[in-house]
Amino acid sequence: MTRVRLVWSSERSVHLMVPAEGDASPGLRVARVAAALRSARIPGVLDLTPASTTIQIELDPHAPDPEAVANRSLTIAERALAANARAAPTREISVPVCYDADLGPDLASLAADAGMHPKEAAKRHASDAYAVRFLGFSPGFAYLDGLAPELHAPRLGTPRTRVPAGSVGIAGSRTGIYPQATPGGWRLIGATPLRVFDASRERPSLFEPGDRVRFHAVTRAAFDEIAAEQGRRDDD
Amino acid sequence: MTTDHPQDAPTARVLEPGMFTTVQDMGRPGHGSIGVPPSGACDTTSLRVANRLLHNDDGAGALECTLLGPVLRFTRDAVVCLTGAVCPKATVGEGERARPLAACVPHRVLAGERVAIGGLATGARAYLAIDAGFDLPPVLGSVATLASARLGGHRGRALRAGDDLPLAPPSPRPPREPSEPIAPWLTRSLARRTLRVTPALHADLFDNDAMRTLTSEALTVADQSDRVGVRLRGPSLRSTLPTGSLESEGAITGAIQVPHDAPPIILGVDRPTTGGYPVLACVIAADLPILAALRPRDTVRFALVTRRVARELHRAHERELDAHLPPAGTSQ
Repeated sequence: MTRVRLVWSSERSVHLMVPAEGDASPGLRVARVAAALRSARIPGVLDLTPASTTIQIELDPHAPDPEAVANRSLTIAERALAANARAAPTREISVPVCYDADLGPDLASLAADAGMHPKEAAKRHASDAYAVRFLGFSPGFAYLDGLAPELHAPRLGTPRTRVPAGSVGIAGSRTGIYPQATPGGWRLIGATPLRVFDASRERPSLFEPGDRVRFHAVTRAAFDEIAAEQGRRDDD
Repeated sequence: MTTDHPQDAPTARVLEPGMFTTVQDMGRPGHGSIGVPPSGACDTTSLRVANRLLHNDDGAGALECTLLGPVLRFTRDAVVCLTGAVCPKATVGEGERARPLAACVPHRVLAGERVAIGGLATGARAYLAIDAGFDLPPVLGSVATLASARLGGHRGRALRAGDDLPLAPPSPRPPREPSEPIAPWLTRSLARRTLRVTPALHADLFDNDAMRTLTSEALTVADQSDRVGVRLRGPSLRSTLPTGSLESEGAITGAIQVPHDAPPIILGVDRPTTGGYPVLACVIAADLPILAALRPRDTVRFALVTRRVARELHRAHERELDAHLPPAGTSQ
């Protein structure tokens, strides 16, 4: 049986290394193990951060026996990994994207590099199913796996100082959406009118680790209509 | 953006915002899986001292001041307490009624009076707590401000001149008189400029020289340091990894990331929850208040300790704090 490996990363944190198995990527298994750890509500665990192949467990420094908390987490993780076959069904989230040039200023150059027409590249991006590998960078920013190889593209040499919220980007083999207006170096190919992160919702993040995601192309008129329904961000 | 706070309810009017003043509390840990960092006070010891002296809960929201504090005017009588960095020019009142706002002592402020914090002399962060705290809606269980995502606090951002911070109704509980002054203990514990560290996730990916260099040479705090991270200048700490070869991993506050072609960064409370740079070492929990106190151009040294010692140091620090000043609600 493949085992989860526990590595101490400070006096108050461990990383659980989830092994790859056969040809399956550890990605979705990381999400499932993290979900099992979260629902176990282990006393002494302050935070859980699943990433690409690891789960960071931050321990409460006030916990009387951190080593015991870590070992209990490891046991639960291994049990969850073994029960992989009975995994919970994944959610599928449908995301409207407008691929117009003003919303996706890098689509034309990215398509040209791939020897495609921009419309063809957009169609390709919207035709595949993606998986949320993990979140990071900023609240609600999901790293999505499953990008067609011809659309892989390096980050911009110089990041933009401000990427509008909702922008859909590509970096390396991943695609993702900027939930907030932030600086960013991903190549922008379009934008969604959805609010990707809203702390006032019961589920603040549109995406959670393990979710499946599909994009569908919408016109500018539909984009504007959905954006109006969603309510604009208060950018004061 | 609206709150339930009525128009004529008491506020603290911001006359001058200071350099970067935000509402912070003990943070919102527990949302790492959706990319939300803990935020909260960089120096939770000073925050708790301020809150405890006012009989507030440890987690009540207070103002975190950075290098230069704000000037406020209160519209109701209030009791305030200033802790953290030394603020030699902090005053309550104006003109002939001006009196110094000494650290770690509750001060009564009358409606209409000004509170001016001024510049921070040693240390980078001071905390101004107000009796009963602010009347702000919690976001994911906390009023901490995460400015990069416009989350929490007052409108999700640092204070600006003209802001009105809604105050909670005044506390019926009188402020506390600690049995002995706590300011000397707090100032002493924030004055050290050696950060104790444990080895971190990727310590094995560096050659031995990297840890030896980190723990033997002085590094300088760079100007571009904030709540996201403290940037360091100094000797090179290269890992043996090729650039961009690491997958992203979770990283906690205090983790010392070493990018390939840039100086090391010690991650702060507003850090991204995951990062793709190798992490050589991690500042121990007991020394996070010192990390919060580092000013640009300060010289800082690092010392390696074991996990066991790190935990003992944290327990000792917490014991000392509680001995000086037990949390609100406990008998004295």
